[in-house]
Amino acid sequence: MNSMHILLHQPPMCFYRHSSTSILCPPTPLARIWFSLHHDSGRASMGSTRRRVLLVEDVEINRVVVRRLVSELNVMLEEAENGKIAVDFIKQGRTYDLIFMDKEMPVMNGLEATKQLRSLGVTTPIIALSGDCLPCDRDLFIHAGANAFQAKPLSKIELVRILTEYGLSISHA
Amino acid sequence: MAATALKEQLNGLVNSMFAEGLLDEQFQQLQMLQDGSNPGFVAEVVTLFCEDSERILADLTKLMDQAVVDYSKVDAYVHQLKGSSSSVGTQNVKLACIQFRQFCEENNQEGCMRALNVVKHEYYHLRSKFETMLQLENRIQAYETKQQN
Repeated sequence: MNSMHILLHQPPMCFYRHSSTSILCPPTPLARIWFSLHHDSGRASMGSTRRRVLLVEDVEINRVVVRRLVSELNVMLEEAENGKIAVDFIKQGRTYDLIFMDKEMPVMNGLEATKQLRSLGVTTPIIALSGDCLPCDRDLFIHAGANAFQAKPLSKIELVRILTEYGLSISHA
Repeated sequence: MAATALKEQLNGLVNSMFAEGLLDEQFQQLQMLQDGSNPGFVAEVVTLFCEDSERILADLTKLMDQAVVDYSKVDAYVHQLKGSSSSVGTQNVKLACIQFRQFCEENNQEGCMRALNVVKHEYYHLRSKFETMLQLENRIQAYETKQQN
């Protein structure tokens, strides 16, 4: 297996790790090789594997719109109506390449869910979503472990930008 | 009436809704998401928005009728309506909700009552336009289906 094969087969974001200063670091060469050996067999190309995204959002209309936005992209979307369901998904062993986390939700809000996911050892990038773009909200979410904070509603341009930034394939389905 | 004339009427209605401030650029985003593979996407979202909004407004009316108003519950509902109106692009409803939330933060009962009436006014005005819009879309679709057959 040559180096180009290894470089072409990018592990999902959950292989990324937080450094001691909480900066997201790319996987080690050993992790990338391990991933290539165990996950890439049978794949024709990097673009053939659909990335898994979890949308944690209580308002159905918002989920409908994001679902439609994502339908044109090469991404598999799962949905959770509140933070507790998202945490339960993770405890069930589900893994994701990216998580969109709404702020205000019943049962368990986005801040608490983010904290719990990080305490479970989840390193998947979490993008906080909120209709209120207050600096204090952003700071709270980043402190809780979110990677970024994005205003709602999410436009297609912003969605593509975020997916690209976090290494998810955006080739059209 | 020919489909072309109906489409012109529909475009005129939607344009007037933008000009009046009832809709913003987010609604345009939704329109762009409607295509051959999802021909009823806008109708689906509009219908869902109206159903949700009326449920929320009914709940808000009940809460505001209580002797002691639970402003945290009121705020939660208004937040939900603000979020859905923002996602659909119903600008005036969204702005009315923002104002309503400010009164909730102040625990201002009179302000909240007035704000609720404003939200209702904006919503029902919008709903009547949406009903006309969906009727025109249905007529256009029926006409085009008939033409194809």
